[in-house]
Amino acid sequence: MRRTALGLVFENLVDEPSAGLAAWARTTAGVVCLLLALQMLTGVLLAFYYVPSAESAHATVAYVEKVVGGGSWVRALHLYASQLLPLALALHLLQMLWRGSHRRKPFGWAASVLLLGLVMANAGTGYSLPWDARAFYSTRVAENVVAGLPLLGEGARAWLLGGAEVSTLTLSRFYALHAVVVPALLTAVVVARLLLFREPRNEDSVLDVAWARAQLARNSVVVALVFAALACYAWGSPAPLGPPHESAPPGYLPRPGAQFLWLFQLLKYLPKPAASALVLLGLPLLLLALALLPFTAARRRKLGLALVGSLLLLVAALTGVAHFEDSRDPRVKEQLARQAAREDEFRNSPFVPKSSRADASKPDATPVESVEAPPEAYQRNCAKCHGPRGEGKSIYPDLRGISARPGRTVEDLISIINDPAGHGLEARMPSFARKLTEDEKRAVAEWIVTLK
Amino acid sequence: MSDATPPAPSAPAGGLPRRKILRWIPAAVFASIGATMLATAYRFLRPRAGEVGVAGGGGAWVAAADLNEVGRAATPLRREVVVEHRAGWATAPRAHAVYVLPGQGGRVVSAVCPHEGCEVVWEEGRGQFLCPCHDSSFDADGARLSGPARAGLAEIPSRVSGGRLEVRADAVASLSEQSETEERRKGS
Repeated sequence: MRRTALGLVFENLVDEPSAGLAAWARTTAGVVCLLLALQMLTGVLLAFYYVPSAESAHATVAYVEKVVGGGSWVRALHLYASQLLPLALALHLLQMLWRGSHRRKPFGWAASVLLLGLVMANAGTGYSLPWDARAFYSTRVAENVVAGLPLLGEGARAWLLGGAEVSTLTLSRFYALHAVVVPALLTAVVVARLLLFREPRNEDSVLDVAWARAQLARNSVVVALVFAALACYAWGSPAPLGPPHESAPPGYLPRPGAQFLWLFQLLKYLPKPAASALVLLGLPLLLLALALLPFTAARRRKLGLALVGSLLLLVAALTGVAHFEDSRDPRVKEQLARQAAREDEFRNSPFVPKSSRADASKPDATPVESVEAPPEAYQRNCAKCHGPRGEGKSIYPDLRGISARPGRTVEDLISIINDPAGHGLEARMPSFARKLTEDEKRAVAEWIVTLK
Repeated sequence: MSDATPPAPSAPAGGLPRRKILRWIPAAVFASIGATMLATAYRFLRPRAGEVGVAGGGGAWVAAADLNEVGRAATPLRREVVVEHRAGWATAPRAHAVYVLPGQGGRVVSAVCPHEGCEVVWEEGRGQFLCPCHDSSFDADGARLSGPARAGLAEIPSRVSGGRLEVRADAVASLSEQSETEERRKGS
């Protein structure tokens, strides 16, 4: 074979022939390849519409989800492939260990371990991007895990957020990491594995072309099955998207994606510094050690098998516990069902383009139920900021349920309408003392306390 | 899994048909996944024609000038008409320049040069509209005088309502987008 780059790729890829179950187990390579390619393609497609700013991100994702042709499917593919990738890579590592091919292909092994780490990092940054409640809390937890690092914590947190708090700068950073930095590293790992390093050669082995062809066919069959299953699943269950995070009701229960449930559960048992040390130091070190396994003198296959096996068991067990705990508590179950219903309702509501100016005549994207229509004085004076049904808008507070709070009786509300500053409200709300008649003020206040 | 066992490397198992199948499977899988994703990309990236343009449809009238101003004016009045444009996931107000022509019962022309879309300016000294880009000129009624433009400034439907001169939002907005090239394409 000529010493072209392609020849090197082929040589680096093809291992000693195997038969039966082992040959089929090796098709994890094809599946990883499929999923990585799908992530790149769907990611590029989503980038054509996505805008990484706190003001617009959610609107652009909702637009892709509700309006763009095939948008919901593309987004679902991107999400579910991201959840399948770590699983496929873990199975890939397991079968390599099982067949002992990590000794023959040490660079292939190391690359797969690094890919696992990078794929998790990309999922972690990706969850922030839709900017719904789920995204917001995912960002919040990432922020706090980073902040919990000993010594470096506060500095690292500020660098991650781009400032003192989660803001539109944070979203830009997560986007740059998710769409540029991590994919570039990922591509670098793949290129290095295929083109840069030469796997140690066994001079006796001769490339068996007939076998390689059969193995390619096996890979293709499994890839076709996985793609068909993924495509159907993504068609049937679109990726979740809630209303914008500002309108998340109190009592929202954040739950991460399937590939992070184990970590979510693990954090329940750990105080902050321990959790940070584990996630940011322990796991990367463990992955590094795993990547270097075939390069150690002993090339301990059993140690590797035990390590990967016990890690997988731990992840599976913690994921199971997380599911179990959520299904055990009826209140949690009920709240999660409510959130899912809210997400469905949001998905099924028509898309409302984001207006550049506050416009009360446009219906809000969030469906809200109200006991009765607002009084005319409310529509004229208050709806512009607080929304047509008191649901609030961006910085303007949600009025629903405020009568449950102290100091918000009808009389209090009338007094607030007259003198917002005197009640410690932010200067944004002007006084309506002279804009409404006394009867109108009372009508507005009485209507507001009925909002649930 | 027994049927999945590959042939022993040296055995010519199956002969020609089987080898042909082995060759076709990867090609077929690659082609069908590729075609699916290509079709998806085509649908996904299709221009969103129906959602780009004036928000809430075209028929709205927007104020361009006060009638008193129009009555007093001796030269064309430059006015910016703000129209809400829908572009995909957002709507945003955009200003479009128009000229209200004096003494013509509220005739309004677009300030967009029909040649390549630059904005014409009223040259008081010459009593003409001049395009700053490619030197087309138009007379005080908006009719073409010289230069590469092949038509005069486009007239915009207007009406008088409540003491104000109003223009059609869609007419203002679409004229800004259109140059002769596009008109020609539509015509052919």
